[in-house]
Order: sequence, then structure tokens, then C-alpha cells
Amino acid sequence: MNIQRKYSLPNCTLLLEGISDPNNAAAAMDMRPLLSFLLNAECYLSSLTQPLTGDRAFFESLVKAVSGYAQEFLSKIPHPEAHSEESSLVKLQKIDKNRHRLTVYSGGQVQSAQIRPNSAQAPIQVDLTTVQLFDLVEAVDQFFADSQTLPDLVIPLQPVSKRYVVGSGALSKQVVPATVGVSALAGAAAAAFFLVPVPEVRPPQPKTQEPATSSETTINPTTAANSTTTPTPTPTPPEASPTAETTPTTQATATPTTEASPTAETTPTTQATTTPTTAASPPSVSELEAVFNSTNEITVDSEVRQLNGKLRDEVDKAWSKDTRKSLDEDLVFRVAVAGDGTVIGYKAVSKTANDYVSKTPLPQLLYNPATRNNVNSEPIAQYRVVFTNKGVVQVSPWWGYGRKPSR
Amino acid sequence: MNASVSVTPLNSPSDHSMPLILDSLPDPAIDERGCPRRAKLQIDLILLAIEALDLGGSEAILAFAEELDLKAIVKNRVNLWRLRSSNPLRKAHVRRPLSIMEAKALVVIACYIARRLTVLIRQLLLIYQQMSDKQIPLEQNLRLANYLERFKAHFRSRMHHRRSVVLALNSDEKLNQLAMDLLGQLLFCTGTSGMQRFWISLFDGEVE
Repeated sequence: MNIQRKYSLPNCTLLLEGISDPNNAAAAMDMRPLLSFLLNAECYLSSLTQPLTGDRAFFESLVKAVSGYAQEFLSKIPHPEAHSEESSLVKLQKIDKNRHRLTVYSGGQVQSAQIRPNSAQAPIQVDLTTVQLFDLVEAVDQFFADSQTLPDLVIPLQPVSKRYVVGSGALSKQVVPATVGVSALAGAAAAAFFLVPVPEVRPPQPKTQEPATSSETTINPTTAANSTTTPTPTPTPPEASPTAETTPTTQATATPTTEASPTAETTPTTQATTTPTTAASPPSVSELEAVFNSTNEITVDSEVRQLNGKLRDEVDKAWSKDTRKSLDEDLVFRVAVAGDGTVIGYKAVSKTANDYVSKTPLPQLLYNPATRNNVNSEPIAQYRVVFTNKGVVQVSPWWGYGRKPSR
Repeated sequence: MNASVSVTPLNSPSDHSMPLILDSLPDPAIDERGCPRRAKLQIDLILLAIEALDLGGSEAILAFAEELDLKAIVKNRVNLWRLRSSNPLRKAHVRRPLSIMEAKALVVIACYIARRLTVLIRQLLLIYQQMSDKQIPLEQNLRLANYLERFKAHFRSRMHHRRSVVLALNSDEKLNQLAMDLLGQLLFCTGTSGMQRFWISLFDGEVE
């Protein structure tokens, strides 16, 4: 017996027809049996006289594109699923401030999977207004909310990855060294976040697979369910209390560093894939941690003062004229230097600082700890280095003068 | 690390009393404390649109905070103002982070109010559509004009005119467009998964 499901809105109606699993006897008894196999999907749009119809591949492609585009509409950041690779049967794109173009390839009469998408069939194009688009999104969301219809078709809502924003892998590589700094820094909070399932960014699916095996590619009910309704037992970062830290400068970035050494080990070392064998490679998380965790700190005021001046001069000298005036806001770093003034580690104190680390001379100044054997035992001094948006370098001792770091 | 110096205790009181309603929004996998800049901006602007839409908008925000049991996070008018002043465009911008929990609370409140205003939002968007199709100036419709005027007035009085983003929005036309964009976003907030969608979209491009 065929089951029908209808999700109806003023400008859009989704009609799904399918059957329940014949092996599941309980389903037959149910008042509203589970629709587990989709036979036909129809999408009625108020601006089209004929419905868009198709099989499961079409329907999956539709909900994926709609879901992705809804997110793009909200954030204005291109979503890879909305107008994805050629393999997709459905695409959505913005054509002007109030119009959204829905393109369906091979639509209209996809009764069976044999008809190849992207074949000679001309694609159908419909332009939707924002309200019509919303009705389509809402019909799709009502379908998702209906646990009795294709419960295996789940599209987790996830933020678009940084990698997609720039659109090339080049940036993500660049980000790695800086991320090393911040991931260690974020301490407990970061560790908590990393327990959350990593957003899966689906790579573009091979074109040939789409029509035949598309059902396998997206269906992953367990992981999907996990990531959408992440029941994180981990604490969200408590509200920052800006007083927790006595900062010598009044600059910017209210994000106080919370660093909990016990959790520091749990920061993903996988991010630091590059082993510090070449001079240019960044230190790994654990090494960085080791540097900042050093018990052997220089505390004699005169030395701290002398190194302070030395570090300031070096940073100032190394900061190129081009990048000097290019900062939108002040960037704050925590920098560790050895007794001879070499920079042996730095961490961005804020997200912005992390993003723009390349605009500072710190990466060039960083001495590779790998070439020094006993970096942990070497005495260090820690400084707060601020690159202001006016192009000025400010350096002050991290712990201030005249007090031993309490430990 | 001399951790003891700078650690904020994890067991701060607000952490335990996290209202259940916020659980419907997942924690984004961002490796920092507090919300990214765009999220802070966006949340404040969507609330600004609500205020322009509904005369009692700012009262409603506090009333919904009470109703939704979010009083622990959005305590009172001053506190709400402080949360919203994390928007970097504000004249009274305070450099404070907006914690994930605070952001969630504001998003939940905004979406509940949006849901209550669904009919109005839809009507205004339909009017807008018709008027721009026929190329009639938007001011000729009283209801739409009211919304746009109030939005522009709120925006100009609260946002710092020297911020580059604000500078770029120098004409009535551009501000009208921003107001209409926000109205469209508000419509999406009213949907079945609107709250989750809006929330997740705030972190687009911010996660690995």
C-alpha cells in the first residue's frame, strides 16, 4: 500500500509517495506508518503550473540544495551545497536582492533512475521571491521534522567551513601555523569544543556516483543526529570575566586567556601535522605548550626589563612598513623569549590576532625550538606584545614587573 | 603555564543553571571564547529590525526573556544593552566578548518574537515584492514606510557613523536594503527549524 505525505504551504507543496518497509510488521499496524522507501516526490510551486517531480535522487538533491541555500541566505556566505558540483540535480542561486533561481536538471519527468541527469534534457528554471523561497524551505523543514517519513534522510545543519569561504585549500594551509597557537591557548574551552563531532565537510562527490548511489552518500542517521542535536555534556565556556587577568596594557581584545594546563594535552595534536624538522615549520602544540609551561622563568627585574627592550626593538625592526598600517584593530600576542632574546614561542591572545598573525613579524622571528635541544629547561621570559592599528609595537612583561609568577 | 593565575573557574554559576531551551542550539566548533564578530553584529541587527517592526520591541525582548526563563542571562534593560553593545558597530560598543550562551539566549528570544510577528513580516515582504516589481517607491506604502523609517532612525542613532561598515551605508536606499534583508532573515527565523538555521548561519566561515 502506498503512503502519501504532504507538506503544504501557501507557495509550495511537497508531496511524497512511498512505501513502508515490508519486513517491518509493526509498521502496517501503525496509524501513520513509516514511509521508508520513496517512490515519487512532487514539488508544487505557485509560480509553476507543473510540479517538479522525481525520484529519491532528485528529492535528496532538492532538500540538500534548499537547506544549504537557506543557510547562505541567512549568512550571505556561499554554501557549497546550494550550488554545488555538476553532479547535483538541483541548484539554487541568488539572482538579485529579492530573487532566487531554482534550477532543476532533468526535472519534470524523472520517473525512473535510468534517465541520466544532465542529459539532453533542458534544465527547468524557476525564479522564487524571498517569501516563496521561505515556503519551500519550510516545506523541507517540515519534512525533516517528520520522523515518520524517510527518517534516514538527514542533513545536519552545520556552519560552513572556513575552507569553503575562500574557496581554495591554500588558505587552510596558511591557517595551520596560527591555529597551533590558538588551539593551545583556548584551553579548557577549546578542549570541550573539540569533543563535539567535527563538522563533516562532504567533499564534492564524484559525478558518476550521484544518480545511482546518492542514497548512500548522505544517509548516516546516527552521526547526523549526533551532530545536529549535539548533547554536549561539556561545559560551554563560562562568560569571560575580564578582571581575571591584570593586563598591563589597556589595549583591546577583552578575551582573557584561560589556560588550564591539565586539559592542554587534549588539544588536538593532529593539527600540527608538520614536524619541526625544517626551520620554517611551526612548533607543534605540545612543544608550544612546553615552552609556555616552562617552570624556569626569568624573574629578575633587570633581566626582564632588558629583554623587554630587546624584544621590542627586534619586533619593531622586523615589522615591515607595508603591513604596519594595515591592521584594523590591535593584535595581542603572548610571546616567550629565551635569555638571549630569541623568540621561542608565541600565541595569539584573540581570534583576530590569530587570523592576522601573518601581518606581524612574529612568524619570521620565531626561532625553531627543534634546533635547540633543551628548550624546556632553558629559562624564558614571557611578554605581552601588542601590534596596534596605528602601527606601534608595545611590549610589556606578561606577569608585570616585580612579582614572581604564582604557580 | 602558571595556569592558576589566569584560569577562569569553569564552575561559574551561570554555567550550571543553563536553561534547557538553549540546548536546542548546538555549540559551534569554534576554537575561541565568545562569538565571532559577525555573529555579534548580526544578532544586534536582527533585534534592531524587531524593534523597528514592533513598537514595543525592546519591551518584548525583556518580556520574552522572562517568559522563556532566560532571566539569568538577559537580566534587565541595562544588561541587555550591554549584551547588544558587543556589536562592534555600536556607538557605545564595549569590547566585551559575547559568550555562546548569551548569544543563544538572544537568538532564542529574537526567534520567538519573530514567530509572533510572522503575519506582519510576511505581509511586509509581499508588499515590498509587489512595489519593487512595479517600481513604485517604497515610501508610498504606509506600513512599509513606517518600518523602514523606524529602522533607519534606530540604526543612525545607535551605530557609529565612523565605522567603515556604517560609512558604507550612507544612503537611505542602502539602509532600506539592509532593513529588507533583515526582514527576510526574520521570516526565515519563524520557520520550523528557523531558530537552528539562524543560529548555525552565524558561524558560517568561522569553523574549521
